[in-house]
This record gives sequence, C-alpha cells and structure tokens, in this order.
Amino acid sequence: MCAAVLALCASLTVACDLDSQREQQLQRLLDAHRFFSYRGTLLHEQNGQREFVTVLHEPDESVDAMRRLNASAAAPMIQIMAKPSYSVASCTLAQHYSVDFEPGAAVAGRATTAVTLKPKDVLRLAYLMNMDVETGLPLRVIAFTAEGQILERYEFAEIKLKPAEQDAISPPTDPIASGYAFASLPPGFVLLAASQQDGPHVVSDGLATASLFVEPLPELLTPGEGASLSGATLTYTRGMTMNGVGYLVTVIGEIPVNTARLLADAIRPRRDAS
Amino acid sequence: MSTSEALRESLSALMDGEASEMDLARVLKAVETDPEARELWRRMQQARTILRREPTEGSAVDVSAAVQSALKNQRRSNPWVGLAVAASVTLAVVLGGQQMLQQETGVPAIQVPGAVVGFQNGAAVQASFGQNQRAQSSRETSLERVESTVNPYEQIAREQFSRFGQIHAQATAPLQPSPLVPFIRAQEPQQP
Repeated sequence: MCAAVLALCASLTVACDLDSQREQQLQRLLDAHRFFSYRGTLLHEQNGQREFVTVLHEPDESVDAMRRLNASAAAPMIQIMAKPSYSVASCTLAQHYSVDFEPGAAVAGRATTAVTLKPKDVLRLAYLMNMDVETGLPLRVIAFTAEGQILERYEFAEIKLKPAEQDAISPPTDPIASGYAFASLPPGFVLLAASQQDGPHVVSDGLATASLFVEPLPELLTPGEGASLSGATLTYTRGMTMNGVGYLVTVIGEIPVNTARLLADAIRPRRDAS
Repeated sequence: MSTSEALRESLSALMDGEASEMDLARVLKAVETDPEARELWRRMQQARTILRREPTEGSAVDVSAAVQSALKNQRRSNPWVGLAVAASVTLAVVLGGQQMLQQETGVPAIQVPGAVVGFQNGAAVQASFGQNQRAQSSRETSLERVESTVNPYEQIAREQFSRFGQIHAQATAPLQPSPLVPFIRAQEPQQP
C-alpha cells in the first residue's frame, strides 16, 4: 500500500514522457507552494459567480488562512488546517497529461509561463496554469472539461512572495483496512487513504483527486444516481444494493462524471474485493 | 468477434457498471481515435442517469424532506447542512447548474486528446466563461427537466457536497499546486 503513494511521489522506472527541461519546469510548478510563502488577493470564479479571497500561505509556519472578501463586511481571516503536502512527481503527472509550455500573459503584474495540462484520456479534466516565471507558483489556473468548457477559474490580482524553508512532506502512510475496497481503479488513479472505518476512500492521479463515501441507503430511497457540479467539483451519488444491503455511495472530486461512475462501480464490501 | 463488436460489448458492460479493466482500456483507446466512440462516451454521461431514474412516490419535495431528515440522522453531522436551501429552490438551482448532463456547445478552448490542438489563450477564456446556458434541442431540454424534478439524487448530491465538501478539500489540498483553493471551493459564495 505504501507503494501506491510512492507511485505518485517518486519517479517510476518507466521512461518519463517529459524531456529533462520540461520535467524540471513542471516540478517547479508542483513544488512552488512548499518553497514560497505568499499573501495575496485572488479572484475565484465558478458557477457563474465570482468571489475575491485574501489568502495567506506560510509553509514553514504551517499556516494557511483565507478571508472571503465578499462574504460579509468584517469577514475574519480563517485558519485552514491543511495537512502537509505530498510531493507529486512531474513524470507521474506526464503519464496521463500532455504538458506544454509557452510564454504566458502577465498575471498580478508578474511574468508567467502558460502551462497546459491536457488529459490523455477522457477520465480527467484539463488545466491551464500560468506559473510565475520567478517562483513557479501558479498565479492563474483554469480548469476545463475535455471538450473545453470552463468549469472554474482563479487568478491572483496581487501577491507578495518570499522564500520559505522547505515544509514537511507528508510521509506516505498505509491506508487502514476499512470495510470496503476498490475491485479496480481507473488507469493512473492510486488509493491514497482509507483512514477511518467510515472516512472517505481517497484516490488521485497526482492532480485529479476524488473522495468516496459509503453510507447506509436511507429506507425511502430507491436505487438511482444523480450528480451536482459546483465549479470543477463534481458530487456524484448513487443508491445501490449489494448482497441485499442498501448503500449510498458518494464521490466528490474534480473529475468527469464517468470517472466518478467507475469509482462507484468498483467499490465493494471488503470480503468481495479480493 | 470483430473489433467493433468487442467494442460494443465493452461499452455495454460500462453502461451496466460491470466493465473489466480490459473493457475500460478498450473503450478508452477507441474514444481517443474514433469520433463515433467519443460521441457514445459523451452520451453515456447522460444516458445512464436518465435510464436509471426510478419514479418516486409522491412529490419530489416530500421525498427530499424525508431523505434530508434521514441523512441528518446519520452519524456525521456538519455545520453546513443548514446551508441546504428549500427543496424547490434547490431543484431550480440544480436544473440551472446541471452542466454535466448536457453538452456545452460554446467555443472549445482546448481540443480533445488526439485532435489538432486549437488552444487560443485569452480569447477563448473570454468567449467560453459564463456560458452556462446550453445550446440544446428543446426536446432534450424539456425531457431533462421533467426527469430532474423526480430524481432525488441530484438534490442529495448537493446536500452531500455541503456535508462532505470540507472533508474532500482536506483530502485534495496536499496534492494541489495551490493548497488553499480546495477550501475556497468547498463553500459556495453567498448569494447576493
């Protein structure tokens, strides 16, 4: 099970799809938030709505905080209890996303490189990220469907940066055996966590992440499925029966609906999933 | 067995939720190269949801209220459950936001894998963003709306997002180049 997380975090023996220069450049983008503190104001857009948010990120102090500037007149800065990061290897990402670099537009008054991450299959979203030339931090990120529909966008209006000491990388931990397991996973997705008996199973390909929850099916509900999309985040629910027992499976993630369906297809009570 | 017959069987297995890894690999490969397979995949995003909708007794509002209270009785409580708005309003919002069940026909900013890339930087962003309206045949749209009003799972999905969105944000943040964004997403901005 440790190997699953390491598959995301270490270069594999498989040849990297990126040349050395692009590998390093993408790695800079992925790691920048560990090496830089920043405070800034960003604009977050989703569902046709927009919101300005002040963000504070200080990895060496383990501080992450944000203030929603449109929520109320004196909205407080809220501390987020963010866990330490995984260090995802750019070569791992390049297995399932085509990566391209070109000069980008200025964002927050800073020069950027535009990075497109196009999924190699239909199981993932696409991204355009403008990375700060100086630090590698993504200053503007747009998430798209594979067909090119914009789902979510955020962009820094202004930002102050300074180097931080390297933050602690989360050591890979074995997912604790829960009552359920995946009979299979879509290509590129690894199981990151099944940390509590009734906590979510978390899968990721290094960028696209989904959490899957299993609950008893309320008695009034007949089997079925449905979904709701909020920006780039899909919530997919399915009521189903397995071995005569009703389950409500919920998948939340920045993934297309068919990927969520595959995950719901694959979850089984543990005795079945050998 | 011809290739296309094997592909049809794999697609059928996918539709039934019984695809093996081989079925999935076969379909993914076909979707990359075959426009017809790609179109079938797209329609799968709609078809399974429509096919699987079960008619419910009574009004959608009644069922939703009962389900809501049943979910509240589950062990996990979440301070944001109170954000779930009245069922009828929620359904209206859900209908408006059901992008995943309908095809966007705006200007594509990124082409599909395998196709010639036609990515236009700033122009496409301006053209596509905010186009939450779908150019959809009116027959399909009205079918979608009729089906939507009797499917409780769409409202349940919204409520589950309210309940579990923060937990998902915690799970995804360690993997994001911007670790705060998942938390910004997890609560929708207040309506003006």
